Amino acid sequence: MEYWSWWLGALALGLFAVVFSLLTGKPLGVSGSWLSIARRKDDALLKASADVLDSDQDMIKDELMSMTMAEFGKDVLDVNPQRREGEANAEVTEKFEMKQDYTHWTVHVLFLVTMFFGSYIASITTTDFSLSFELSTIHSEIFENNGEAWLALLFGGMMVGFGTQMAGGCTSGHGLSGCAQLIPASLLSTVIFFGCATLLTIFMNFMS
Amino acid sequence: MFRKYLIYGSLGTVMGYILARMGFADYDEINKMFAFVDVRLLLSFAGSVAILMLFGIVFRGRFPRQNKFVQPGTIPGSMLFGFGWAVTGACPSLVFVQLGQGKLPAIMTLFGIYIGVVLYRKIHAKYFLWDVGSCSSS
Repeated sequence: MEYWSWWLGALALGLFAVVFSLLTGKPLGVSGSWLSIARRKDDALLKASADVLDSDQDMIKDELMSMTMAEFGKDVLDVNPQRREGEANAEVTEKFEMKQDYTHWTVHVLFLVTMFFGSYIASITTTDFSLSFELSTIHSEIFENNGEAWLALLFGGMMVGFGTQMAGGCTSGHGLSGCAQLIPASLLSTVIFFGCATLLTIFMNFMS
Repeated sequence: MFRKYLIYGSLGTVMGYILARMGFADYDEINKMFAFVDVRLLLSFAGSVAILMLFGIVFRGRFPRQNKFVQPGTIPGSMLFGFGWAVTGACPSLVFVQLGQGKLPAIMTLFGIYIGVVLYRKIHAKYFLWDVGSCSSS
């Protein structure tokens, strides 16, 4: 397959991320879809909590207030927030609305599976599609036999899955959406995962 | 609900097509990018971040903000992900693109990612407990 030039790829991926955000109301991020699938058994609970937050805001506020009063007493109501240095000023604080957007886990499955179809369409329309037992030429040079290569992919995949959940994002969430918003955690994460991938790649190429 | 399936299904297809045409799921291309032999993909990625940033500045307030913050797992998690990416040439989305290109070994990566996600979820619930601020998943 002949790949797009760098500027065409940048334009396509950048505009895609913009359209994704506008259509879904969420920044592009794929590791969250994996998390939704992994915790699909908790989906009913998530949906119920989203429904409650969506339905009766006043009831929730009343419940929270009664629980706060039960815990700290009625004196909590007399505290003037403007006297408390460093805390929110009641007059200027924007109205806080509790809202939880809920997307069923099967929607995330569809999102991931359709990526497969998108890639398949790209393959059959640009090259003669064929199944391959090798990931690539360089990968076969690094991992000399198929068993070793497939085992490396399994453990490498585990590191990707574990690592992205632990870091709270992946290439799209931290690298693309987070870096575009100059979020410190995303900038830090991107520098680290690019740096570690570079070091290991150079090491593997040197060893092979 | 049907609208969500339609939107996410269409977006997934387009994303898969774009990533495949960029060569982002090709291990050889990824290897060349990390070894700085060919910076085409690096420029593509940096360019897409710049475009997204530009739209974010122009249409301030219309783009949802990422809920991300530095937490105890940021550094070790990013290191693990980086090492895993170098070995597999895949991130959580690219594995599906590799499979769409007929790369059968990517099945192992797919299983690996799923095991890793489930394993982390169990370990996190038992030992870590902190808020990781993962991508919008609800």
